[in-house]
Amino acid sequence: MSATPLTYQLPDHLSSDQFIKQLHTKLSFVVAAQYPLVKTFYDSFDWRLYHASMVLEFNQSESVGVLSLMNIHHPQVLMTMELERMPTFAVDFPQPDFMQQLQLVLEMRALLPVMQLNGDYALVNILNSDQKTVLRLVIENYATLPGRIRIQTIKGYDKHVLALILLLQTEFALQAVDEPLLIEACHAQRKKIGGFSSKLKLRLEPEMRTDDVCRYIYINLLERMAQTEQGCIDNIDSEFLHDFRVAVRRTRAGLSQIKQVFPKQSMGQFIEFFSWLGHITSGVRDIDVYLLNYESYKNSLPEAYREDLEPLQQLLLSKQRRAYEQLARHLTGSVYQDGIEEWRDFLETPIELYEMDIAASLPIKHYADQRLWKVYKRLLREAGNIDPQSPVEALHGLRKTAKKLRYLMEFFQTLYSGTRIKLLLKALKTIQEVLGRIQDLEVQKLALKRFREELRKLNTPEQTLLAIDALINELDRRKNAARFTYTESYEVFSQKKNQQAFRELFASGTQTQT
Amino acid sequence: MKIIAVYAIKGGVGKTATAVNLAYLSAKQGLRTLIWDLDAQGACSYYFRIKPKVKGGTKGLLKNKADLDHLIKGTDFDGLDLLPADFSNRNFDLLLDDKKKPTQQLRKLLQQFEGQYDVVFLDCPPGITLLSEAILTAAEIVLSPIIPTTLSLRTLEQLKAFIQANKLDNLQFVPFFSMVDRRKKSHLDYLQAFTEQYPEFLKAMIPNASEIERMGIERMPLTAFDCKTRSAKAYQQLWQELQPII
Ligand SMILES: Nc1ncnc2c1ncn2[C@@H]1O[C@H](COP(=O)(O)OP(=O)(O)O)[C@@H](O)[C@H]1O
Ligand SMILES: [Mg+2]
Repeated sequence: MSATPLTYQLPDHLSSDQFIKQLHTKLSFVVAAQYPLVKTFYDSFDWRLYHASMVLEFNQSESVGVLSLMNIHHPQVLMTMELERMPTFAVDFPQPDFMQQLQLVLEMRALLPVMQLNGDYALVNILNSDQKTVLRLVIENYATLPGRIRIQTIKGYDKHVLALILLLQTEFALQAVDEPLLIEACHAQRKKIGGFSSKLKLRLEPEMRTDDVCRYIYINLLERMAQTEQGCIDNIDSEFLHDFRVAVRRTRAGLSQIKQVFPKQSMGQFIEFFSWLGHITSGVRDIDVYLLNYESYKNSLPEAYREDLEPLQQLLLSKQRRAYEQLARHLTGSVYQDGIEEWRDFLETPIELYEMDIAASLPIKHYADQRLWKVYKRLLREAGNIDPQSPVEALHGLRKTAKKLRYLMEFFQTLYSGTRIKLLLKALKTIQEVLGRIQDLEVQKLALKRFREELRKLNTPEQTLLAIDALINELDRRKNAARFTYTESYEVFSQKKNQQAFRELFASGTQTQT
Repeated sequence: MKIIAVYAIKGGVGKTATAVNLAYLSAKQGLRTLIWDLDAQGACSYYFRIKPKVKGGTKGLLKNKADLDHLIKGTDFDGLDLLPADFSNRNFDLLLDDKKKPTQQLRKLLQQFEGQYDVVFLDCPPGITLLSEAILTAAEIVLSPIIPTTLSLRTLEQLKAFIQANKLDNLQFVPFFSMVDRRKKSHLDYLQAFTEQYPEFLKAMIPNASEIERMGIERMPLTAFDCKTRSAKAYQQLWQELQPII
């Protein structure tokens, strides 16, 4: 049956009422329901349901809301339930089946409306001679798209489906449609599907002026901040803040690493502004991270301790609430608004009006080669002085340098041969991730110690404090384990082959430095 | 997957009426529900407007057990499917006789629905036969309608003895009162006597009410076409009371 086309398009000249009227002469049926409809599609910001071939559709009429989870390729409904208001997270769903299925795909991601259609809905039950329903037709008209008829099969009545399809195709001359409604609607509204990636998509040419390229990069990052800003203020999904922060960090890396392009004296205020932005968002993000990790924290404890950790989650949740309120005040306040506006003004100033520094008019390829080679060498130098026993601060410094190199490589990626720079980026990412993990675990450990102290003062039961102690030990153990993987990943990163590749890629234009 | 047999030794006591209504309520609650019409009379299939015919008859059914699924029909209600009766069900007993471990056959057949349905109702024919033995071996709960009369008391004893004799220790025996007429003094007397003697009786009881007979005209569960009536509410109570064991 799966090969049978079950969705048909209503031609413009045929309204659903007319279609139903004409059906009267051919078949016995009842109209089981008919009403105006608002149809909203939901997915996470990164379209997780879509990528898992699922569509979540919320159909609201005046009296009821019906939520259906469907396979995107087959119009058959996987699960359906009546619902008044759409919950934001999978865990908030009242029905266990829905909750589990959605949680599997969405995890902690929020559901957001991605598309909305207005129209009319009719449900027609086709009957046999016993007045038994043998299949159903869902007929929907939309204000902005051609209407659709969807056949809902009923188990054990396949013959009737084939007969109906024949009728639709011959008597009504209807065309089957393959394209999922959500996709058709997105195309019609020129909305990007499945879209969202925090990867920068910059197209650079080697001959572009360096100052041009820099503005282009900064504007791109600024756009990313603008896109995620409201999500941070509304605290819909921790991913908004994460992405916002990535853009801030990349901008900061640019401001500190892309030198001699814009005059130093005009950049000072922006360096300060973005450092402030990094500062006011970091505490909130940390708490988000603890909460995102909470389940894994919990599961790392022996079964008997796990429930005792609960007060920690409560503490984190209340901290998160307060932190987001504070963040919202910052992001709607004048320091942020003015700072962003000045930055935008600066970036949009016509090029002739810029004061330029010495590197501004260099071809970008030349400039990028120099910068990348320099930072790469610095990374090797710093890394050479480090072993698993080095103090955390030294590792932290190395991590920062690795990150700077990575951001620069991402900025200028399209200037270099695709596969090669990707491989190097990957090697860099590996050590950067190990370094990141060591640092994160250290920070988390210290934070847990603080939380433990807070909870202790609140007369939290001893078991909870013991569970947190166990967790602190566990994080420490993981951190030490990560330190040892560092040596290995550094060896991979710094192997001859990679050093050679870095040299060929970046040092070719800078023969003077070897 | 919970397997619930609606069974009594006597006929005409409200087994089918109960199975049909509870299955409807189960599906309405969101549980994937199957109702298997095991009675050759096909009353259950009739209530859902489904032809009681099974392709190939029961013979094929026991031979090729992997293939029960294609015999299933969707009812008019979301989440509720039905496996129709077949008149050759008459031969079910004979067929079971042929097999080596006849009473295990039904349980084996039902295994294939694991994961596909949450609840399976077996609408059983009356009598004590090889088929009823197979049914009671397969089921986890036997829901038994009892009319408050002397005769019913005797069949209740018989059924309990039967369950004991067959060592069906995992079977949960759940009797409830059916077709109760509160205007009859004898009914009221028996109600009291039974409840004292058998504490396992459910509190919910189904009244003797003419609206239940209307199911034959409407051809759907009472709870689907008139959920406000006294008897429909009684079925809802019955279903509620079963929740803890399902
Ligand atoms: N509680 C009731 N009150 C009145 N009539 C009933 C009741 N339950 C069932 N009936 C009717 O009695 C007849 C036998 O019921 P049924 O459910 O088919 O019994 P069984 O399956 O035990 O043989 C049917 O006509 C049915 O409509
Ligand atoms: Mg019956």
